[in-house]
Amino acid sequence: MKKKPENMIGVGIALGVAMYPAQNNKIKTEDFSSGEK
Amino acid sequence: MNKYVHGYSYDEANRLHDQADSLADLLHYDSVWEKGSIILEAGCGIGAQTKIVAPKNKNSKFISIDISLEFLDQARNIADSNRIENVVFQQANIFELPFGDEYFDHIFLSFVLEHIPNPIQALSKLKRVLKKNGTITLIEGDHGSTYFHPDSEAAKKAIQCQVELQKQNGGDANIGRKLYPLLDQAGFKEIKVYPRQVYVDDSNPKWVEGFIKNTFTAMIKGISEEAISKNLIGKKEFEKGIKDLNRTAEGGGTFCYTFFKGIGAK
Repeated sequence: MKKKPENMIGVGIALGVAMYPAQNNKIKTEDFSSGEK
Repeated sequence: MNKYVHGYSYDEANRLHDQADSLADLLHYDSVWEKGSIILEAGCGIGAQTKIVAPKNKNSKFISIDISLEFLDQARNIADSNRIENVVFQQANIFELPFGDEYFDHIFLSFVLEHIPNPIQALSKLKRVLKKNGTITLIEGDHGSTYFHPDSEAAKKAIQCQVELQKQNGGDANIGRKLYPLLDQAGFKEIKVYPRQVYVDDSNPKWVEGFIKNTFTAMIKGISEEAISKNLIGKKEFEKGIKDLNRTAEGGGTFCYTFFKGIGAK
């Protein structure tokens, strides 16, 4: 299943972003073509 | 076998619930399994929940899987920086688990089923690798449980846009209320579901900042471009919705959201 970071919405993702903004900013800059989650 | 309250009495569990001063406490005060367990964390993402749960179970071993190598890299970084040593991270797909039958004592999933189009199938796949009498623990949110003061139709409509977009991606932002039937249909027994409500008012500024602003409203704000471009809502109405959500975090405002924790046994 191909999903890009912007498709990954949900309260779990939001919690991760709130806890680790730096980590998630890093994720958002990368290609996510193979990631389901 | 893991009993739900893990040695706590019902009163003790309620006391801990009432005293929770962080979301980690609220969701995970009872995320404790017996020593020596081998626990599968399915869909660990960047390891945000792993970082909370693994240190509470230092004498157990976690195998935390995710389909995304990028997420796993972040999870390893977070675990390393927190000196967590009882977790092995591994790339794996929940629907093609590379483990033998009845390999794990317990299974744990946080905010995973909300992204999966067929959660019953996922639970059935997970059940195969769970030992008899082992437990599965699920934690999910439910946007339908959101209410606040001052009330706002625009804010509710903005939230509904997030529900709709997650649905379009194959997920379900209102899955929390379905945990019992999902576990039941997947064949688990002794099912218990425990609502964990976040209630925020002026008396707890940490929750105002951490949950209303930085988590919930940030999440809704994050879908603005997509929601507007797909004509789910007008720009002005969406902006008013965000403004009204932020208003609940100001003086006199209150905010409620309920997470659900479900546990079933094989």
